[in-house]
Amino acid sequence: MPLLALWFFAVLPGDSRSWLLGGSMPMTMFVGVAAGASLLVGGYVIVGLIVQRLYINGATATLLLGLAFGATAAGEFVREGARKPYTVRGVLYSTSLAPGEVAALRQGGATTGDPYPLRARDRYPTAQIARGAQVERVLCDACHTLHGANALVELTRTWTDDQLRLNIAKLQRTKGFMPPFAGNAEDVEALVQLLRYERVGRPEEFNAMVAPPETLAQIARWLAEAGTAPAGEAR
Amino acid sequence: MWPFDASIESLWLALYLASFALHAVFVSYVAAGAGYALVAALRRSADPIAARARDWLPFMLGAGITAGVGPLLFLQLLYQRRFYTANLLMGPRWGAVVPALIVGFYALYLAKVSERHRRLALAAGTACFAFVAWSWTELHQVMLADAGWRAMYAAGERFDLDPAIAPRLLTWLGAMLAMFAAIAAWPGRAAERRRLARLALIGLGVAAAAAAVPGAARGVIDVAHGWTYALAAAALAAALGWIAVLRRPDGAGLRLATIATTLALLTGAVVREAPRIAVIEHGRATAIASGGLPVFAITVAIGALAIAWIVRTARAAARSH
Repeated sequence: MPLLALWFFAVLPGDSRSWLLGGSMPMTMFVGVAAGASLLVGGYVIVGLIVQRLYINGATATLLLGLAFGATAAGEFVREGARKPYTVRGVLYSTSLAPGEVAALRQGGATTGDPYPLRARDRYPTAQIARGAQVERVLCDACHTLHGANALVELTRTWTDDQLRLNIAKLQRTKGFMPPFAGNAEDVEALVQLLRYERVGRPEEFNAMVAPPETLAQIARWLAEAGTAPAGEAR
Repeated sequence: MWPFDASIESLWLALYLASFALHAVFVSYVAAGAGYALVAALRRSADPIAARARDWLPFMLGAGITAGVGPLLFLQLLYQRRFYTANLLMGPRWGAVVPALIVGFYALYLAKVSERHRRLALAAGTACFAFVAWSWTELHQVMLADAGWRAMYAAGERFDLDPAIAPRLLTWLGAMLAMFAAIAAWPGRAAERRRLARLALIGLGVAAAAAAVPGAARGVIDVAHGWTYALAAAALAAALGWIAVLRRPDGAGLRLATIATTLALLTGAVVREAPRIAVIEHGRATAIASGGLPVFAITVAIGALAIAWIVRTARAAARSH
């Protein structure tokens, strides 16, 4: 198994390997947990059970089982994380979009062809924020929540409005393991307004900003600068 | 021969049906066996069939889950969009299948080793397996009901209460009882075989009635290019075999019933698939071009050799005891 793990690391694309080896601290820590827990289980088997011929009781077996679960869970996290921004490298992004679809969605909008309606549309104060909710569902919901695990609101809470626009428009440059934003400037702005609305706790009265044309034009320029290719090394 | 041709999807379909049939053997033993052992435990009867079932159930569930991986993968190849959409629409209620299986798995171990907790464990296990069977039946219907997907999502519904689900589930439960009987009867004595023959006949009757009612109500019976006739003939032969077992438990009836049940399972798998064969999705070019058939063949060979080695080792150990 250690040899197979080394092989896995050796054949990983360079950008993925760099995240596991310090580029992304949570990923590096999970690598450490997976390797450490595996080492402890393997070490006990070799030293305790084979060399020392120790009797294994229920408590020890439970502890080893817990370590094995930890090793498996951490290993799975690493395996999934190393694929980002893809689910299938080069074929399918983690948003369930193919790379070839991104350019068309940049033109037509992220929700083009989405056959499913937005639930409880009435609870959103403006049509723009409702659009932002649908964009969030289409592009973000596969990996993020708004307020729970991996929450968008918390990840972006300290960002200014322009910072939100820039970072979302240049998403793959903001974080290398994020896919390119698959929508147009209006989608970016709608998502920004949704995050502002959610950040302040969905108030009854919300002063939604109406972005002037020059703001949308700036977002469009940022989208164009970022391009539709992922940020990783050339493949 | 319909539904098989020279396409890659046809190869996937054949592998799906074969692996599904194998999976069905194990899960039938688990679902029906757990129910049988529960009834025996509630009646506090010293039933040797139930005792053997309790011994075998944890292994059979492990084998059933393992044998379920193959058909699950082929199902995703054949009906990718429908399968994933139905998964997502049913959401956490579908995800509950996994914890239900885990609870059921450990409940079977508890039922095996603890007389004190046996009834509770078997009741929990049977409930879990019934939930899984119902969930798979429901998922099957949701996969086919694409016209209702949008409304189901918009309403936030996690359950599909299609009237076809109950008879479909009942058909499977009857068939599962017959398959359990076909496996459990072999090590049984004469009285046990007679009891299992009666159960198998009840199971076959329930399955036939439940399968026929929805078709009759709609005024159509899908013959599935003749496969339905083959299924009916195999089920009839199985019933005749079980009747022979009732008369002469040590005669050739059990062999006939087992062979006929196997044929009924294989033909039934095709009949079950017939209504959705028209919606099989063509393989994506990238998937087909990715190759891997030699690796698949080598893995199959290694798996077969490993199973043969395990069976041989187990037999040798049994002989030495």
